[in-house]
Amino acid sequence: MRRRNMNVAERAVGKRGSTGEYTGRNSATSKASSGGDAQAFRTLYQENLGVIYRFIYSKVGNREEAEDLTSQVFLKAVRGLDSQRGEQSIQSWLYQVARTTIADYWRAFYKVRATSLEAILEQGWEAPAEERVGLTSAHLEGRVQAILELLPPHYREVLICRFLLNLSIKETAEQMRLSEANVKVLQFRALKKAAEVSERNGDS
Amino acid sequence: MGTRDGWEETDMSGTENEHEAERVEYYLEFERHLERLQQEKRPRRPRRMTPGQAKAYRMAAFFRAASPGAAEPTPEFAARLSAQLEQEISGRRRWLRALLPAPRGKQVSRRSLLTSGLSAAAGLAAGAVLGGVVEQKIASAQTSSAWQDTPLVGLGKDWLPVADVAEIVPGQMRQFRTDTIVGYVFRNDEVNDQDDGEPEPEWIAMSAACTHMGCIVAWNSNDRMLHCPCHDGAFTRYGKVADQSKNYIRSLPRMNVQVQEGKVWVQVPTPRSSSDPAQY
Repeated sequence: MRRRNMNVAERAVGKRGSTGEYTGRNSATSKASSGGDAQAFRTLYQENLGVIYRFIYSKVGNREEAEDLTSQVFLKAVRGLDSQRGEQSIQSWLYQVARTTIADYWRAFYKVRATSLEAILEQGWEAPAEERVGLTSAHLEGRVQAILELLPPHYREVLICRFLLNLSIKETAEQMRLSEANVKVLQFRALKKAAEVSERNGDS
Repeated sequence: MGTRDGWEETDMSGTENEHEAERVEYYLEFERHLERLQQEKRPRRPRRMTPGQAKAYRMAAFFRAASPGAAEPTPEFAARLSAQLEQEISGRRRWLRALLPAPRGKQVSRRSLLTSGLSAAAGLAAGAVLGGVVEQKIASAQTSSAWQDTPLVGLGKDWLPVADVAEIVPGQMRQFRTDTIVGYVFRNDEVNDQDDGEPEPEWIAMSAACTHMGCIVAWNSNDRMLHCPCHDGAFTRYGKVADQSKNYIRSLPRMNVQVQEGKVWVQVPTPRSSSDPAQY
């Protein structure tokens, strides 16, 4: 059991997108619909853990929450595999479960009025319905690159330091020859601007 | 920006000018948020945000995801979730499995031990043997007198604490669960009980897997017996088959047990990959 789990996990992490490698049968993506078959679900897990995790991570930005919410999505999936899927592909169904899970999470977090919740969703906390299938890390980086290129140089620089190089506020200040207070203002504004750029691109 | 209604109008001061509504606290709060994200920890988000803040917070998550390697599930997480999902799956299947006829007069196959092991990991009342670590053999010809000799194959040198002494109610079973076995510890409140002429010790530890098919037996504190959910089998508090007409079923295998430093320690089967902590 332990060994098998590690295999499942290693494949899920290391071989994303490589369909059919695990079972030696064909890809379960199209087959898993038939009655929640356990083996099919394992394959589904291996094929989709990466994309769902990345999707959720891109909404919450940290491992702790991403792991929590990803677990919720797959537990919902294993419980409801054959019940609510309709004609969707497994993957877009999983995305839908993920979106609902994230929306529920924000709803619980903010305990907001309905109008405020709409505002959250409108502003892209939740994904658009046609979230690209197969969100790879290269795709994520590509989208970020595209946004960066459209930003003024000092905005671009502060975001690269803080997010791509993971520098601290102090290191970023040294790098940019600014005060830490200035960096704090700059990064906030840079991200705000980035959001506007990305909305204009119809991106997020 | 800003043609929408803000979701907290009060914070917007009615202005659409780009940075006018920002306050110093926003930047400080936001920086604390970013630090949490960099530590991969659940951040604190303001419950009320201006549209501008919301954009910044949303993009922070998005840019974090583009940080090299950040948005990949760790192998540890993938394994943990995988195990959790396996438990769900086996929970759905255990009732079907319980309907299967028992293998008769044969060794229990390794495969059936493995599948019942999946259920045991679920804590869902089926199968005590994990990962094929222990192989219990059911001999084709057993005599009723063989009860105390049911061997626990795979017994290793590992002692694990499975319960606090203070938690144990004398005369009542306490279930425990390690990576390799599900069992019961029992503090005998009738130490001089002459069971089959043999005095029973104060501390008893036994496997919780029914020797018939491997389902996990459940303690009933009223009749003080261990009942198997699969075929109505029952064992006494000493692990003996209660119904003498079913004397072809073996007793529950016992494990070495000792009490030290307020904890009950049990010698458990050794897992293949070692250093797994016990789970109470």
